[in-house]
Amino acid sequence: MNGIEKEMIDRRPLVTCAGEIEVFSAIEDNLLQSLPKDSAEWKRSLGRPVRSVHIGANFVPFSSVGLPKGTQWDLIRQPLFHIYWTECSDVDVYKSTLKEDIETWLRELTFKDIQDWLIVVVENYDGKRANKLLPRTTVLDKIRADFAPKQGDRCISVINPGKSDATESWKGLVTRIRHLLLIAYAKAVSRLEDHVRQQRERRNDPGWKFMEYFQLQEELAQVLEMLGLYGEALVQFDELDALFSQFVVNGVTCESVAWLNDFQTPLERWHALKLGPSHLPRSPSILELRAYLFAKQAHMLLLTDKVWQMASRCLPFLHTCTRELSILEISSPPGALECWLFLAAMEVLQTCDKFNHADEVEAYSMHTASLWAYASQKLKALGELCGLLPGSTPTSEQLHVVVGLSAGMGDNPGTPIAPSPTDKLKEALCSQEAFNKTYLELAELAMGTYKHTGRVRSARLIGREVAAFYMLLGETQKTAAFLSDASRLFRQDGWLEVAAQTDRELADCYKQAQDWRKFIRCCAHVSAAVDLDTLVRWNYFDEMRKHVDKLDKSLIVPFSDIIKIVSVSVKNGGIVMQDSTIELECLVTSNFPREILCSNVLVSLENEPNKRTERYLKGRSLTDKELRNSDGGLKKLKIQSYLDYKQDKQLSSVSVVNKSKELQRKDSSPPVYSDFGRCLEAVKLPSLLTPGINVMRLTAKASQIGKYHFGQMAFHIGQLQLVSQPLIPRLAIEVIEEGPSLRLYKEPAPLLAGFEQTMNVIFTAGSYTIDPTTKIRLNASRGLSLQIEPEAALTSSCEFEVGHQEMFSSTRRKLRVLADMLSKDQQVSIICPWLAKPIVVSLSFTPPLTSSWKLHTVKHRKFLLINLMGQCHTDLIVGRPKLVVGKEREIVDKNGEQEDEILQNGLSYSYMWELIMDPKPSLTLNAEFNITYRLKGILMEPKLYQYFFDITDYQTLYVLDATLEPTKGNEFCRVGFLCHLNLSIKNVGDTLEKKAATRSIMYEVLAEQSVWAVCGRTAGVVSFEPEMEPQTIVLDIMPLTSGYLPLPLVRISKYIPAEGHSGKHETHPRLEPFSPGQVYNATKGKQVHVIVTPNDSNL
Amino acid sequence: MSEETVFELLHSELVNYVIQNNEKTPEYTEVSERKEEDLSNLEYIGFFTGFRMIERLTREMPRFKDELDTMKFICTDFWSVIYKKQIDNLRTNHQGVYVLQDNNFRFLTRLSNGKQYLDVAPRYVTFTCGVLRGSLANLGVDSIVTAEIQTMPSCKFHIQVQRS
Amino acid sequence: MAVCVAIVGKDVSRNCLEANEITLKYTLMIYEYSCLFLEFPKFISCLNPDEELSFQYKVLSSLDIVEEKINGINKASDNRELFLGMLYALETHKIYGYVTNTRMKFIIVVDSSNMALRDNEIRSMFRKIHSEYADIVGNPFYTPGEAITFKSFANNIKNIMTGTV
Repeated sequence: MNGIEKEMIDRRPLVTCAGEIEVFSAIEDNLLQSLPKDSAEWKRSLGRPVRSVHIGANFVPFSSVGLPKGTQWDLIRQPLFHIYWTECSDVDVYKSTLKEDIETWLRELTFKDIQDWLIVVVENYDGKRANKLLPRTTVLDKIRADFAPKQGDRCISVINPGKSDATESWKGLVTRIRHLLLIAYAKAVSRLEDHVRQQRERRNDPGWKFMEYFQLQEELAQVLEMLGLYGEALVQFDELDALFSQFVVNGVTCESVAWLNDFQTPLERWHALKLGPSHLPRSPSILELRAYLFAKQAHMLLLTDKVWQMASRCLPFLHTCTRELSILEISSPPGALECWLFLAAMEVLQTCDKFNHADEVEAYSMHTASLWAYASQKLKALGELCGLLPGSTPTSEQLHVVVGLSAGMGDNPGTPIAPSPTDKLKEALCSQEAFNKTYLELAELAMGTYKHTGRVRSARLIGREVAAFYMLLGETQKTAAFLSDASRLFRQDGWLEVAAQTDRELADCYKQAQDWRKFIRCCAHVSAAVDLDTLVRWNYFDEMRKHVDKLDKSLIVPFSDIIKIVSVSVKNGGIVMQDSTIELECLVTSNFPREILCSNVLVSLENEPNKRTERYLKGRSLTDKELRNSDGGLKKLKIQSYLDYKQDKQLSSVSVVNKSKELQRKDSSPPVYSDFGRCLEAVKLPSLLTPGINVMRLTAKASQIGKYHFGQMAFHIGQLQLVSQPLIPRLAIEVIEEGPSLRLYKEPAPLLAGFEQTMNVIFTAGSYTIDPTTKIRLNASRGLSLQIEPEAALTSSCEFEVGHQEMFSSTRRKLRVLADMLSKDQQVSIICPWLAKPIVVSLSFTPPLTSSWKLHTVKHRKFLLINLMGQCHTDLIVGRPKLVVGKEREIVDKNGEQEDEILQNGLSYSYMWELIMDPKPSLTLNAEFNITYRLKGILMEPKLYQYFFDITDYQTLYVLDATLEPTKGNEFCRVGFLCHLNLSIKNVGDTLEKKAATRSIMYEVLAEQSVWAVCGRTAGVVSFEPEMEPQTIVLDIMPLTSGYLPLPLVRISKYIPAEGHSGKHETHPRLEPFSPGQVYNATKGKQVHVIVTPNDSNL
Repeated sequence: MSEETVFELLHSELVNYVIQNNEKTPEYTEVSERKEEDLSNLEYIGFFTGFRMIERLTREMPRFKDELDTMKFICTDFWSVIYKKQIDNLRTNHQGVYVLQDNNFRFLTRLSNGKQYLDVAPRYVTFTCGVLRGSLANLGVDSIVTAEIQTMPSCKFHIQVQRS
Repeated sequence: MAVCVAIVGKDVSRNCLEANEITLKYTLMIYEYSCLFLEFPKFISCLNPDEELSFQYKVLSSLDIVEEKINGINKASDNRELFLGMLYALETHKIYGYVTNTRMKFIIVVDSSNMALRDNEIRSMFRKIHSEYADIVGNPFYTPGEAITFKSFANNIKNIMTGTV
């Protein structure tokens, strides 16, 4: 069993042998071996579970002298099972001698109330030989009948195992003995248990002694162990452990317990635990008792493969011992207890080392780490006591202490390869070198084991202790390594005070190492640690300042917690003009304990990369993979409703959806130091950084256009440069340039064609200066002429130089323009050398005058009416209207002599001429109207306004007339009564018509529906033969209102019938209107009087 | 009047309040003209409610074994405390998606029994989406919670666990 | 009587602010960089304030064991009780742990010599602390994740520590 030695105390039950001893002797060895080989079921009292146990036995000769009573509690130490052996096979011999002997034996047993016995008859006959007639009754039968008529199992016969074919019989015997023995033993155990219980209940009686009780319960434990019930044996020891603890604790609080005084003697020995088989010395010290008890517990645990539990129990055990020593006020030489604790821890660790199965190691590592740490701490304490720590020399007194301690440890030599803990400790206490080596070895093992089991924080805390030790050794590099690891972890966890303390030690370490750069960095952190005492912070701050002055090259220190940026804001918005100033206001909190003068304060400007990677999100610089798994915290999402419509516009379902962009956490490690080549600087330098909130104003000239973001912030204190993390999310700014611009402005009034007017050319310089000799050309479209030089003549193109021009200033130049009357829309293209395309400015010119004409007809006479309208904002003076028609056609001026007249904007004059009809009228007449005009109030030559137009189809062809008369018998036309509309159409202008075709005319009555109701037809077609009389049509019509009503309007049109015969596809008949002048409608202006129906008015 | 009524009325007033505040913003458009309405504030109110409340609700609970165990708690005890009933159906793909179906969601029962007012129904489940997300966040389950309604008063809450 | 009580948990509030990003158009509000604390001490109270630092070390190292227990490294026990029992013992002190469903860790440090406080007393102390904590989380002036600085809370915890509640 894992090489654990068996218990030395023999707790096998004693079995006596009576009868023919030599028979037994022959099989004794065989029996001794066979008994514990197989297990037997142990049925137990008090409802405890059945256990399967192995039981052995010790055989002694029967003696009536020392025979115990069957009810004794300590039966377990006494013979408790009795066997009578015989090989008698002769019934007669039995009757004569044996029977009496057995009777005597049994009588003695019964006298002592012993019921656990067995009679064994060994038969020597050979099975094959035994074919002769067997006796009617055997000896066994006899014995059974005589002594155990009701307990047949108390007698058994066995074939001598020396003979062949005896196996079955032999097995039967062993099983029987095992079974009966176990019953007897169980009874004994049960009695012992009862006794232990009774004793325990009397523990508060005066005179009760713990050690006596201890032995008693230990005996029970040993019994259980013998039976292989290690777990239950352990329970016994645990009970003892707890009982003792309780006594010690209560001994202090309650009245003192007498026997405890025995333990309250000064410590003289602090031997190792001696795990494994051990003896409890007579009147042990408390440590010896504790050690013994723990060794027992450990032994049980190891027997049940629970190495880890042994390891896990060790530290609490050691704590208990320490506490009990102090409670009982047991004095001991200084260091003695530490020695013992160290030895105990080391012994357990050494024992663990023997178990190197991966699972076991995994299981106990969880507990050994703290043991290693404990051992190292105890050793360190001893080192301090004995003057063994680096840097100190042991005094002679301390050397004496070492001698004393070593003597108290006693001897427990191991092998040279595997020295015992005692050897190790003695060695370590002998020389500083050995001490250092041992201490560091233990501490590193503790750290390593902690790390291995994932207890990083514990590992780092040990690291601090190791660092302190290395510091004493002067190995600052190692010290620094351990301390910075620790500091980093504590900071990660957010334990800033602990981290600050560690930083403080780190600073001291760098100071000793004279690593001033790191020292300054550390001092900066320590002085900014708000959790530390102000005096301490001042001290480190001053140190930092002192050494910063001595720096020969720059030292970069990240902001960390020293300076915190609260906000950064761009004062001039996101867009900045080139060459103007970018203004930034930063709110920062300084955690330095005092003011500090910054030689420079900067914020770097970085070019915005084309692909923004970290754009909207704060990057995280921590790389620990645990951090990545952390949850998202309290972020707000963009949540929207969403309505899902079916194709038929019906709402099918609605949802609440998340529209937030996926927050990507990137563990990009940002560049430590960005390029401060392009940066903003503080307005006021040097700048004072005071503890608490500071407002920093920084500016920079935006010299180059482009997109930028603010990179990092930096404070320079001499050579010390405090640099922030990149400012993320990125705050972007765009520097843009503004080119010069040219604009063409007109005066408020609209531009007029035909007049020379001025416009303004405004040139505005942009964000940069422009060469003064740069020429700008203006090109005019056809019909437009212009000139920028005041005196020069108008041309189609001109140019000018920009001249000296301040940034963003502008100059105005006058441009003269003149457009002809022919087109309204003109344009000017401005060609600037800095622009690829010309700027095209569209200009719209309005003529100063507009005119229209109209032809009026009276029968055959024709009149021309010209309407002239002013379009000019300034008043115009017009005069000398003149009309020329055709080639010297005669016209009669109906206007009379006229002076020049003033024509205001929007007003009009009308002029009229009568056109005398030529006997040979032409189809088309060209006409020209002209009139002189000039702007009022400006001295200028009058200009001539010309208006050309053509007169066509002006000859009267038809005369239309109509009369309305009441129906017969009626005198007047009345409302609601039918009247006749007599329509007469007369062809008058046939002279120009070709005689050939019959002319068809369509007439339509377009009566206003509220006035007239046309009854029957409203339209019709009439045909005119050449030379035909006027056509008359009568229509029925009813007036709807009374009064003098204009006759209903009648329209006639040319009717072109469908040409069905010639074409392949039939055309529909269509109408063509007459041109004005071809029809004279005489009904216009005619009225008819309609009177109200009297009857109706009465009703 | 029981506290349930107070809670219901308070909730509907909360919805009104948030929506009215939305109407003051320039981007706001009438319901009939748009498909989406910003409910972020309502959800965030729910988030903090859940975040704070869950501490108290789980005080007497044993430690949750795993995510599914947590979800079961949400569907039973948690839902009962807030809505006086349990979730009717919980489904999961075992890859971080959980669908909780309440066939008779309390904030919808008074609203309609079918499709009427369906267009504004999202307002009445958003707070609960937030409560779910907040509660889970505090329980260490980072998630996004959305909801879907086809016929009131039934509602499905979708929980998508975010794993980084 | 406990000598020290600590509440430790992850600091989620900083994450929250980060997600809000730029609130004003041209202003960048900066919140702690690289400071997502995993085991941030939200509250520590000691009977003797002078000893606080030494208790900080003790509490800090106990977090390793809390983690072990939560993650069930000792899978043997499927114990889902919030009370984690004794985390570890020193010569002078015993350290107990408790973890809420919201991953808040409560730590109680007790003098080793104190025999009056058994598991049951410690458990009920933790329950009371949890109850106080739940109240604080419900306090509108408390932003979840931040350090707890309420005087009434500190008083109540002190009363729980000294057993006057």
